[in-house]
Amino acid sequence: MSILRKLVAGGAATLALLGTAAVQAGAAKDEKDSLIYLHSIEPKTFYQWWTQAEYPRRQLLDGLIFLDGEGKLHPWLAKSWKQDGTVWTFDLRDDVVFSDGSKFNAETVVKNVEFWLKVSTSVPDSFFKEAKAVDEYKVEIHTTIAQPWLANLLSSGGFAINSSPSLARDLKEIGENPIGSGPFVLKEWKRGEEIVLVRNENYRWGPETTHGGPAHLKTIHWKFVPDANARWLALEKGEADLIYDPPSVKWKEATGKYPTSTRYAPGRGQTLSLNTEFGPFADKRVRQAFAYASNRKKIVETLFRGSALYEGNGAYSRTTPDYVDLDDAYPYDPDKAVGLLEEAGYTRVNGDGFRVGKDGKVLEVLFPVYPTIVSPEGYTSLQALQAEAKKVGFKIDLIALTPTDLAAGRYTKPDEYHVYLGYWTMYAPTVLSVNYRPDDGSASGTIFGRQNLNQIQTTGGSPNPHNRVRSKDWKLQEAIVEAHREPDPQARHAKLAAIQQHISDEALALGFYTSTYNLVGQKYLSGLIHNIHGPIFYALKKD
Amino acid sequence: MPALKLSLPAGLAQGRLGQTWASLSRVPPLVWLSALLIAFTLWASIAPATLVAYDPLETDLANVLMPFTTEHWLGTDEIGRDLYSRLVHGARESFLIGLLAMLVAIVLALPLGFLGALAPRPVRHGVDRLIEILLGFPTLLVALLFVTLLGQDPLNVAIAVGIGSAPGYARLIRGQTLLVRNSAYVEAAVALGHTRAAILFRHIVPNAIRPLVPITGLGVGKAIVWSSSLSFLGLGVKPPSSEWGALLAAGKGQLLEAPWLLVVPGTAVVLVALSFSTLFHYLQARSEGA
Repeated sequence: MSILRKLVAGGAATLALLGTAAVQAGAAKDEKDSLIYLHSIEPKTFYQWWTQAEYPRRQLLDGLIFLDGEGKLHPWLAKSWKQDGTVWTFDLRDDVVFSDGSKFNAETVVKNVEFWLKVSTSVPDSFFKEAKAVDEYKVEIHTTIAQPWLANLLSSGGFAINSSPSLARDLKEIGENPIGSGPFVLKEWKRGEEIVLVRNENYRWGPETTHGGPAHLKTIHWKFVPDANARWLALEKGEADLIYDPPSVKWKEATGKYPTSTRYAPGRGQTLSLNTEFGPFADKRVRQAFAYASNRKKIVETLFRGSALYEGNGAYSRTTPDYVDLDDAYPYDPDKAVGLLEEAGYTRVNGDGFRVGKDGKVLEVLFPVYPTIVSPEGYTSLQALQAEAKKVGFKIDLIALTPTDLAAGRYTKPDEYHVYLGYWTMYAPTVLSVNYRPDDGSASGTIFGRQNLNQIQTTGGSPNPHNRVRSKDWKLQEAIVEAHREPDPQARHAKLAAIQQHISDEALALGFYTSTYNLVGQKYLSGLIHNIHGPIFYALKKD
Repeated sequence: MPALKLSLPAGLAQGRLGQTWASLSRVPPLVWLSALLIAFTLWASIAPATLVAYDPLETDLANVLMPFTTEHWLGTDEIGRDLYSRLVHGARESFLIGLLAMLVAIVLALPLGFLGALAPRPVRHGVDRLIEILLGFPTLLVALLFVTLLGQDPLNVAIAVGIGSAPGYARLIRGQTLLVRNSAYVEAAVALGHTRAAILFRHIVPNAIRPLVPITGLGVGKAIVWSSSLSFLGLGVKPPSSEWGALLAAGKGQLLEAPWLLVVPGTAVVLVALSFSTLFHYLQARSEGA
């Protein structure tokens, strides 16, 4: 082929491609009944006990209680509820039908509570005990101690209601196709590409404050696009209606150009849990030195550019009840850090600039990083943290774990890490019990037993895989339980504030940045429900 | 390629030195440029600290995403690390991975190539089919498989790339060995009653591997590209390492705001690979008497 012919052929091919792109651009807007939503992480199943699985699941399943975008609780499948000590009583709707044709009633709730207790290691630590049907549409949920935040917990996607017959299937099937009474039903899941949801035409029980009937949209294309730049460009080109988490460098532009919505997840934000049992952080002075040296606030402000906020409270986040602002607890102070390290015996600095203890060991910190938990920007923030901590002599080994590492069980032992970055989403101070309840020693296992998130299995009460700081402090756990039992809200707040302060003073866990849900959408969208559990597309419209 | 026109003082223009000078003056400028770039990369690999002013991991949170300035020649990244310093320090890892990968490839390819050419017929056929099957898989795919199995550290990346590249070299060695085996001087050695071992080690092996010298150089460049590709895909060396593929991977997140974080390491990979290709193609041509 001559050069001229090649050029002509190449040009024609380019024009054809550009033509295709032009047709695709703006395609999202033209499909009035269909939403194209771009998300980052694709869960393995709908029933991982993980927020990333909850986001799509809550389009399919309704909850007993609805939390609106302003943080107010409303009736949904439950018409009303009340607490009496360790018993919560719910009056249920009698007109709800699941997509498999089964009816919603008290027995459905009983089956779901049993299911939650079976699939989640954190539910027992949330003080769930059992559920009992009082009559066909009245049910009691019993807790092991008074649980003032049960209604909050039930408003999250984790506690959304499955049809009773569907729970008789094996866990794999439930995870692949949960059956709910929600405004959408699953049409198909194209792995690695998208989940397609279609409208439930029989839906009549939308939560209070909404239109109540079937969803406005006929179809949702919940697409998985891991690259933030690609999501942003798709929005810019009109190929997407709504995107999750634009690149931080584009956040300012996004807020000026498009409607945006931000919610900070309740529970624990992205927090550095320091292993208090093994390694250098067993010494409180070293933990505090790390806190002073890490320059976390500056790193977050610089890197995230407002798309996520610095969170100084390592116990729990700003959207969790009875939160205390601890942003000023450990200001950047390398001199103080050096003083604490010297006090702890790390007096010598080697040729590489790392501190060496009296035993001749370098102050080395093993830091495995989980790619499903920490975003690429999060990983960059850890590199900055590594550099900042080096200035006072910490040698931080960042170990970016891969799916192969996880499958091979690498870094799964309690002494194989010294610090862990991760969040835990839960709309209650109960997250403290999940994260700090010590092991009772009745069983052995791996602390990261549930990191292979495609597994649905219960590991029982011990070891507590969520106790990343390896707390052995039963007094702390007793204080957490006492705070739950406290009936007076003011006294309860004081008790919880003291616990948060204690966790900060002991530097058990250091807050880093908020676990943030940022949405950017086209201007023609309206009716988005976005609460702190994530978005619900039920009332969303394209005008 | 046009040759460089240089002249020596009259007194030096004769004799051995003069001949060397005359020979060097015929080397095309592009080859000189390639040699210089490889020399610079080598120097950066051996003593990076002599070429830079900053620690490659040192952050400067007050100067993030800076474009090219006199202070930061190639700009800074999203946490204020100097890109030039990272690039220079990354040369060591990229270069060593390339060299080691080449070594692994040759070590695996030599026995396969010789067996494919000299072993008894059943073994020879078996090895031939094995090489053909392995050649059916793209190098990157084989490397991906092995890096998944072995884990993601620089050594494993080098081994994976080496394994992925080996079949190509094995085939080359096999072909070259067959050529040498059927040559007149080997026939002469047989006629003179030399032992099999003597023929193998004195005549066949040295002559069969001679063309490998320039090919090896070409392979280093290719291996750098493969290993960078793995890192770019997130399957090779991870940040904060400043291996060039890792730099590329980190830079893609800033594509819209700071494209230089992608363009600079990408250009470095291309230039170094091209330099190896240019220099060693030239040496290959010279060794073949062209």
